[in-house]
Amino acid sequence: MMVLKDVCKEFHQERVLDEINFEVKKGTVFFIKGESGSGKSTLLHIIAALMKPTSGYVSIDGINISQLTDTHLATYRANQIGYITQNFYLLEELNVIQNLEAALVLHNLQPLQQKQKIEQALKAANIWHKRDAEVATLSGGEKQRCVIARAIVHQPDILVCDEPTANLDKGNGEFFKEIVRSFKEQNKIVILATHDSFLSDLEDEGIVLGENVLK
Amino acid sequence: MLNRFYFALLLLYKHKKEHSSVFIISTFLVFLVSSVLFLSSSMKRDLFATLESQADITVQKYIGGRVVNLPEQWVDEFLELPGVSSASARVYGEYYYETKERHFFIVGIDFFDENALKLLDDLGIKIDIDKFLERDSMIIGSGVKEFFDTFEYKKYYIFRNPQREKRKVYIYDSLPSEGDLVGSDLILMEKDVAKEILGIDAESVSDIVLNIANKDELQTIENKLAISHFDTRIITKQDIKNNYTNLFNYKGGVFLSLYVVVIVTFLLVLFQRYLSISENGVKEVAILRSIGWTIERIIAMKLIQNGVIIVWAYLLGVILAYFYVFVFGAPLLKQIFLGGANLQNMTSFTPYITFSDLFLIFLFFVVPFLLSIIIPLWKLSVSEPSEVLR
Repeated sequence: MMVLKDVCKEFHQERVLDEINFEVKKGTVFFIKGESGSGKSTLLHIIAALMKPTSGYVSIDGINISQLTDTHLATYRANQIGYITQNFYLLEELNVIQNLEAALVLHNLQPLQQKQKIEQALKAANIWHKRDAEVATLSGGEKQRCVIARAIVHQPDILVCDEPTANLDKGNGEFFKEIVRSFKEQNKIVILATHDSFLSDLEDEGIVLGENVLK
Repeated sequence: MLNRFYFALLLLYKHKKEHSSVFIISTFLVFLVSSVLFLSSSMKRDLFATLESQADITVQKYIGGRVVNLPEQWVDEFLELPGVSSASARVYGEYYYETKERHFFIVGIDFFDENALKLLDDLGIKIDIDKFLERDSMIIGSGVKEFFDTFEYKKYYIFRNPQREKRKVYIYDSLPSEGDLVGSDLILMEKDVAKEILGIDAESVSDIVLNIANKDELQTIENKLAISHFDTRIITKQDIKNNYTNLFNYKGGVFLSLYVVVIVTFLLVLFQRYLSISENGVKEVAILRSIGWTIERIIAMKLIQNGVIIVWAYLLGVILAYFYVFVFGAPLLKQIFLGGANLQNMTSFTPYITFSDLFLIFLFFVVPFLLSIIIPLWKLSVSEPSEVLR
């Protein structure tokens, strides 16, 4: 279970998140909604352990990740988090497979096992056909699918998604929905920040930032 | 398959343009410093090796602050001193070629003298003495040979003594260019011929060299020589060594300035590198951290990448310097070391590299270079990846 307790975040003494409280059980797709600038991405960064809250904490299965050291946070990100970023933060000069290898290199897998995981992730994100293409040459939608594949290649326990379908057409949106359903079936947590009504049928629970009210 | 080393090299290959300028500058600087070190080490070794074969004591006559010729009969007198194992007279002097304002260094040799034969041996000369003495002959340094060739003196040269009388001397052979460091402007000829050309009396010589059987007796012999002839100047092998060392220290001072310039340049390159971890570099670090790489792992990867660059730059720089100095004879740089030579110096340098030279260069370049990678990465590690990924 994921618990957020009194999470606050300030930038230059301006409070962006104010006492965010919610719990997410395993097997739940949790939506984070809100106007632009309401702090959705900031909250996702805190959940993905890319940022620490100014006060409050995030705990996963009873472990307060907000107090972990940098090394432990890195391990947490490597093993438990899959983060689909809105802006394609990929290693542009590498090809699609090499971007996924960058995430898997930390897991010391056997070559065959690694190859299978990569193939599985690329097919799930519908980017297998571009596996050898350099990322810099891909279209926006293809980069988005590459980001999705990288986020799921190590089969994390928590999938954190920031506008995951913003660059996808409907067909590829369906591929993404299938990934989310698969996570839910595996009793994993999916945190989703989106404005896309196309994904609304996936929602189990959610929060609207600015209102801080559980739906 | 994929491991950390492979991944580091993969990113290095992908960023090759970014790294190539650092590689080229580093290679050049290593090449420059290595060349100077190799050159000075080789010259120092050759000069000191030549010096080792010199006699223990040189006796000169010194009157009114000037070195003058001394009587040849002193040789017999010195031989009678207890402790002196051998004594030989030497005849030498500069021969001035007025038209071109060049001078040659003429050395007269007694071909039946042990020290003279040792000198020839040191210079790599093997001669048939009978043939050499059949007529007035000489062995010339390669600088002299080139000079004579320019004026078509292929078989002989006509010298003029101080009275302007002509003396034809045939060219027997030339010295190998390896000996140019000491022999480029050298002319070796029979002692009496040299005396005539240099205007030295038949009964006089330029100086006398002595060898001492027991080196502990050196000071005693020096004292005896000084007492027997108050107007002498006694030069020991150690004195000459000290002079050479002073000369190298002077040259070393000149090159110390060069080192400082090179090191400052290198530090500037590193400082620039330190300041300008590119936007892409920062982004790459943030992306890797966001997918679970620890900062230690990223530093290890960067160390591998930059270690490869600097080690290759170091190896290439050292190899290029080796070829430049020992194969091509260090053009340009040689002139700085041998700038005083009045004839073209064709010397080649004996390959001689010490481990301490190589280690010194390694230490000067590799350590600061790698530090310039680690420090900015540590600085990045205190920020959160989200600061870049927002």
